[in-house]
Amino acid sequence: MIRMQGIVRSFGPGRVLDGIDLDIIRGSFVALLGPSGSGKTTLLRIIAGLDSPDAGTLFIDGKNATNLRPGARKAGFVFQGYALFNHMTVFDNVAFGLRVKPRARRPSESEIRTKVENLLVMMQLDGLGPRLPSQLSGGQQQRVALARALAVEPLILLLDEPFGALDQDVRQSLREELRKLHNRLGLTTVFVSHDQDEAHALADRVVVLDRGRIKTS
Amino acid sequence: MTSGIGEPAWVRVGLVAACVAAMGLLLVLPLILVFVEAFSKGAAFLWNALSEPDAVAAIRLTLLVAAIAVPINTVFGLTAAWCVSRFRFRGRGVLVALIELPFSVSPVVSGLVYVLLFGLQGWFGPVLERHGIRIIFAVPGIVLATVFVTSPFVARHLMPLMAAQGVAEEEAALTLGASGWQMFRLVTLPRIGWALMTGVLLCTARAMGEFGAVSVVSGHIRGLTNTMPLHIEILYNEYQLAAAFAMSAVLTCLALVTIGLRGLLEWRGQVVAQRGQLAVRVRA
Repeated sequence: MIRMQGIVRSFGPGRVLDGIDLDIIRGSFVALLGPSGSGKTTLLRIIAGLDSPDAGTLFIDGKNATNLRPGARKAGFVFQGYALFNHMTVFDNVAFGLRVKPRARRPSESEIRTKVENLLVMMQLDGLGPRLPSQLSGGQQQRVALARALAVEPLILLLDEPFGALDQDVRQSLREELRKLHNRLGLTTVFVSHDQDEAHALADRVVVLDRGRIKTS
Repeated sequence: MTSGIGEPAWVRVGLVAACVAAMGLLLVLPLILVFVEAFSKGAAFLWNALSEPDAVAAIRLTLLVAAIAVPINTVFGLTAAWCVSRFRFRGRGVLVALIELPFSVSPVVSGLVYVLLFGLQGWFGPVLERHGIRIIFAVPGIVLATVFVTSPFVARHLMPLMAAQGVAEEEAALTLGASGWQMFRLVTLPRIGWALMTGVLLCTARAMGEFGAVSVVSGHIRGLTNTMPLHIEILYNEYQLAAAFAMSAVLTCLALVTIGLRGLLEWRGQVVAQRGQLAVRVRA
């Protein structure tokens, strides 16, 4: 469960988040919906630990996680532009999170190989391991980003406008896949969207943000 | 080859010829002249001129100064480019302008500033003298002046690139559990590699060739505080032209090696990029 209490965040003179109180139940699929500038991406980044609030507290599973480093939150993040490591192959991208683990908890190279291959198959990317991200289509890149985030077995999956740049059909099939993944892996998923139909079609619960406040949830 | 703009052939040929002629006259000819003059009294003379103790000391000092100044400015350039491209903070614009300062200030002035700071009559001079530390007219001053003059090279090469690349990939590494050092080594460094190496090479070339600032702080003590450019000037003033050109030839060779390395790196970078595109085309 993710609990936010009185989250405030300002950039310069503007208040981007103005006192956010929100509980996200474990296993739920939540959409953060709002126009651009409503603070939804900032809120997602605060949950991930990529940004920290000026005031307020974030709890993850009952523990204060406000100042926890991003890698320790068991949260996978899928970036708007995918942010794949363009100088690494698809395989190395997905393996990254496993290879940077401290030696004591790092799987062996053969375990990593098995795990990454399984993930690639699951994301319908089998055979694309040796390619570079620039050699893939947008939809495939999005799948790599998902596989990479899932490799470290996160409990929480955070997605920033995950379907923004994709064609309609790709978008539709990826939505369904994401929903299935969420159910199968028992994830808590939060995604940011500005598309009302998409948010309502996909999420169990839609949180509407407007100028840094929660309008409806 | 077709011309998109559609000038007549003679205009194109004429322009290219003018370019080549200007380059030849201004760049290639002097370069050839350096080597012709250096060998004008024969290879034996050249060898003697370069193995003379003061010459050896000058070469050694130049390499030493470069070996200290370049790593310092590599770290400085990386740090500065990182701060400027990754954070928004008060005074950021001033910092960006300050990084460029050594390019716009005359090297002689930057040398003088160090004399005013650390010289015997300078602000910190008496304090340093009491502790037996010499900076001006000694090697530390030469290193300081060189570091100052060559400080923008790495930073300037990295800043626009890192600003354009953005932070998303680095943030991705952090969310995947990478430590700060892992993020830097596995994500940041490979992405800026070419630009970093180019900056380092240019910095090296300049560090070895710097004259103005070093001339002011060095004191021109033969065998002790003379770098290669200073040694060349002394030889020239003493009408030892062949010896001056011998030393110039060595300095020129160092610069040519540096530029050659840079060209090689860029060529390799392009080959790698083309290979990537080719692979896409073959698969598509």
